Amino acid sequence: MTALASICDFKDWIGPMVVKELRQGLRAKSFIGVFLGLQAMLVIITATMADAGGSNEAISMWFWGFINLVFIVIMPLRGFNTISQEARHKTLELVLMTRLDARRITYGKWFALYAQTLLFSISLLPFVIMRFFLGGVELATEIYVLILFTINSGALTALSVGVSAQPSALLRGAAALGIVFSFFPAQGILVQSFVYNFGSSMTLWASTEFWASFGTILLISAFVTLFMIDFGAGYIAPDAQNISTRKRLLTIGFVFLLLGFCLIPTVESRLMVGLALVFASIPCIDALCERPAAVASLYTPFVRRGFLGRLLGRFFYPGWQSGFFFALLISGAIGVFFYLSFYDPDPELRFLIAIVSFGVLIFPVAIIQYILPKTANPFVLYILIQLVTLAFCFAFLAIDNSSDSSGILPKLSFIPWASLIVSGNDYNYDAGKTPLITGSIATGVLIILLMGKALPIFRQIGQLEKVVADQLAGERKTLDG
Amino acid sequence: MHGRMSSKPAIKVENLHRRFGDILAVNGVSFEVDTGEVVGFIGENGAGKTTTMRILASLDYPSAGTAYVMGENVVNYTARVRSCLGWMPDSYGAYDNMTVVEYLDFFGRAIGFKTKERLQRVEEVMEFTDLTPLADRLINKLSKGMGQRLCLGRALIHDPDVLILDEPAAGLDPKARVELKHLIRILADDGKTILISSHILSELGEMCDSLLFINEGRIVHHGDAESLKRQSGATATYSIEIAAEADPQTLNDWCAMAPLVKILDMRKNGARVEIERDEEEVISGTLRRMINDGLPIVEFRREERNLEDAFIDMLGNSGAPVNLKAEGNN
Repeated sequence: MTALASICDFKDWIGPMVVKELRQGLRAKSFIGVFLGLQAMLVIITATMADAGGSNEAISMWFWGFINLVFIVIMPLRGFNTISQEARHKTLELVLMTRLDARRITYGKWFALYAQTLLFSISLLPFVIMRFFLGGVELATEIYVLILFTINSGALTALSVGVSAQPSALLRGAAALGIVFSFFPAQGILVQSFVYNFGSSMTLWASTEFWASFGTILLISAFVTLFMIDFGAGYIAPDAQNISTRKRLLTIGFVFLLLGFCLIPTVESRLMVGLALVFASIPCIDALCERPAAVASLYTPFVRRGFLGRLLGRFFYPGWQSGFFFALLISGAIGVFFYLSFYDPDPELRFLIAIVSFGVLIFPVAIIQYILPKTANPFVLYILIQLVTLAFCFAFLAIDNSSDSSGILPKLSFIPWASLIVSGNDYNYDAGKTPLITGSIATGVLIILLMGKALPIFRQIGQLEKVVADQLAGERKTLDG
Repeated sequence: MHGRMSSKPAIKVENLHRRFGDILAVNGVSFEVDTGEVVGFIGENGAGKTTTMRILASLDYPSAGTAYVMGENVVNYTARVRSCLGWMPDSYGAYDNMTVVEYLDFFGRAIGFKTKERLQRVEEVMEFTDLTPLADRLINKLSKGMGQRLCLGRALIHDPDVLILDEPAAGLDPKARVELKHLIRILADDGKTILISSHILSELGEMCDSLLFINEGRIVHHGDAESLKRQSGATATYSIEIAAEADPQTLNDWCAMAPLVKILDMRKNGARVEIERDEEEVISGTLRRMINDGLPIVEFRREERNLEDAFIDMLGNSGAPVNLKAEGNN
């Protein structure tokens, strides 16, 4: 095959980044080594199973343990440096100078990695079928578990690709460790519960509970995948490319869908509110840490839609100032369902907790905007501030618990985290609602402070909106003429 | 702001500023490059060359001022600018596990070429850069010179009208430099507009139609190499040799008496002198007086100033920007 013929291996409709990443990925030693290694391990395990006359718990543990390691740890971890490496080697800007935009780059990288995981999935099917014939396992359950691994691996790969755009090696490393130490065991527990506790395959497919849980996993995986691809794109996109609006629309859709499920009587609404809270937190933090962009073309699609468009822009424009209102909207919606869904007898308490929780969310933003506005990476700083605040609060809690004094932490209730921790340790402090009231007042002050910083930015954006409106009016006149 | 200009320069930069925090990297740079012109961009490290080039390549935003490539505003019409511009950064970005032909194919796909057109462009570019025999070689196994040729090939894959090359010859051995220079000359003959930065000033002098000197974010000279050599210093250096049997002290004494002549150093049969006014009448008058005064002159030779000398002289002339070509430079 000549060199030129070799580049006709992929059709034109396949994305250039997918083609490039597949060519590189399938040739990489990390892929070939893992692929052959896994096949070898599974051959040994299946042979052991044949020798034992069927599967048992130990064999299944080893079988799925290796697959878990590859799908949940090794394959996603291959994406952890993918974008930062391009930036380091200065190839990213060469790619950005072509017609590929930031989103197509991150999507292409994710898809190519995920396609390799799909190859693994297909290569595992013969082993799964062989296990069924050797006895001791349910084929449907095993295939379901394999599907679950494949879906979750896609979401985790998106997470790693998204995080790989982070300039901070610290955050990338922390996220990688997070996957290894949280998702790996969590996935193991999940699989164990399905394989050993869900019963036979027939009842598995027939139950509403099964389809509801599968649907929720699918929905969450889809959201995490799409959001993380855009999250990564946001870090490499030029100022003129608006990724923020997509991310926020996606989050709103996801959160409102989950909250909508609460209205179905059979659905456990507290679980849905909890999921919405967990999965909306990163998009809200991301929105609160964005930099405003002074590129007029960003505002054109909004200004074109008149007053309503500009109003929506207050929630969807790139930058933390609109991210603040977006976070307020999301938190408000979750707060309402939290208030309605939880059975605590004291509604005032639920209301105060919802208010202070929003304070927890915006506390680091106020510090960043007032004390460290020029920070190079607000997202990482935000996480650090949260961790340091939490660490201090728990340190004071420990001191308070070990002494007979009235306590330091209640005096720090103006810090939202402290307020929540004190109210959650009522048996230690017996402070009633006072810490939460203090925390709520502090949250109000934080809201006012942040509005004070956001309004001047909105005024500048208003000027850009006027420029865009004049341009659009000029274009219309030209067309009419 | 208009997206398209009416005039014809391939590159036009107007009062460009770029600030990084407290540092003003580019401070009011203005220049024009005509279509088909090859312009060398020269300056010390940190002078603002790469920043200006990155703004032209639409990879960075100016803090103030505007720039146009083929009449398109680089800030407002990045896609149009990128379609007519080839950018070669100071270090070529290599990918692991990728061959030369796959690398060019990837950028061809990313530009949007369909199979037939892509194959044709990849073949043309490999032929032009003499990479056809290396088509199947992995990029990370290429030498620096081959890598730079590949990088040039990538910049040419969409056949752009304008090329911006940032230090393309950096780190290359003499043979690779000659090859690269040859390729650039062919591109220039083909009518491409080229803005090229380099530290090897003598090569730029040979290769370029004009030179742009930047210092501390400001353009201090825009003109051809000869005019720079003439303008950067008012004095001229001459090598004078007298007959072997003559006493060099007589030349020394004569020079000490002559008002415009200063001895730089004495040699075995002569001296190296500086004549304060580099004007034809002064030079010829000095030589005539030497002969009339009986000095046995066997050689009187002007020592050519090279671009490096001129550049250093110019940097020494602080606060005195020389502007030979670009009228209206700020």
